[in-house]
Amino acid sequence: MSENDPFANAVTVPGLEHLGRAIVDEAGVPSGSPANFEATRGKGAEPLTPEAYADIVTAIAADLDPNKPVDEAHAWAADPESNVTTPDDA
Amino acid sequence: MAMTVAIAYLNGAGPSQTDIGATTAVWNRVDTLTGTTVVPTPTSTGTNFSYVKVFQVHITATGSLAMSAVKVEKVASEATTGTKLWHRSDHAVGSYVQSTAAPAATGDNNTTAPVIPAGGNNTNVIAFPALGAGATYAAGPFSSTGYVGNLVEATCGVDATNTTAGAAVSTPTLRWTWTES
Repeated sequence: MSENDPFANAVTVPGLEHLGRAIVDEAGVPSGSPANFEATRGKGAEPLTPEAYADIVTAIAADLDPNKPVDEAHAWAADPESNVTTPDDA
Repeated sequence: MAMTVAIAYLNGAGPSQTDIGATTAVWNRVDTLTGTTVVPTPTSTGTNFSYVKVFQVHITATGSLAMSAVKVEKVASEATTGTKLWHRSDHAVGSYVQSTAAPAATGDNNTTAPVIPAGGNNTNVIAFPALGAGATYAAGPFSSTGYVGNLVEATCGVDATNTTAGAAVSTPTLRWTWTES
């Protein structure tokens, strides 16, 4: 076995033994794609490269409906019954 | 070893380039990343936009790898009615324009694409695609450290169907994806 064998640490997948071993990702999970099996790609196939990514979280600074003043909105959130008419209010 | 990559935010006249990682970027009306100058909700049919936020991929360590097939997408749909994220990615860094005003308001509810940058045109301005639906905007390969690929110029539209009041709301996380090989 070559030191560079991309299937060196790979595994067979139940039901797909005829395809040989499957290249696994960094978590050890077989790719599942037939194109990444030993029998279809050969031992010279390159190992899977995980897709890399970077995120930015986004938010709107403040979302103001001019028909709902900020203070009113906060009041409703803090005390949802504040606008309910009670006998004391009547 | 994997590449070490940050998303850089560009602002100011220079521009200044600041790696921001997963820091929250705020859709505001000021030329900063986290300012709280609001985007007002229109009182009748129409859309108001935030200042354009400009981003670029920054490779800080290559790990002897090359980056290719760079995409930018949103990881989920906008959860707040009346908000929509727009962008274009066809401008090279030499076409950077500092944000000093918001793109002009449009007369419909987040249907017409905004002009980017403000005062420019809306050619090639599209909504952010969903995860897995985007197209490569920077083919690469990029095998050296530095700022790579076109600018991603983005804005958030707030239209008259929005009824949220009183607090900031979240918009989808933006995700840059690429292949390392």
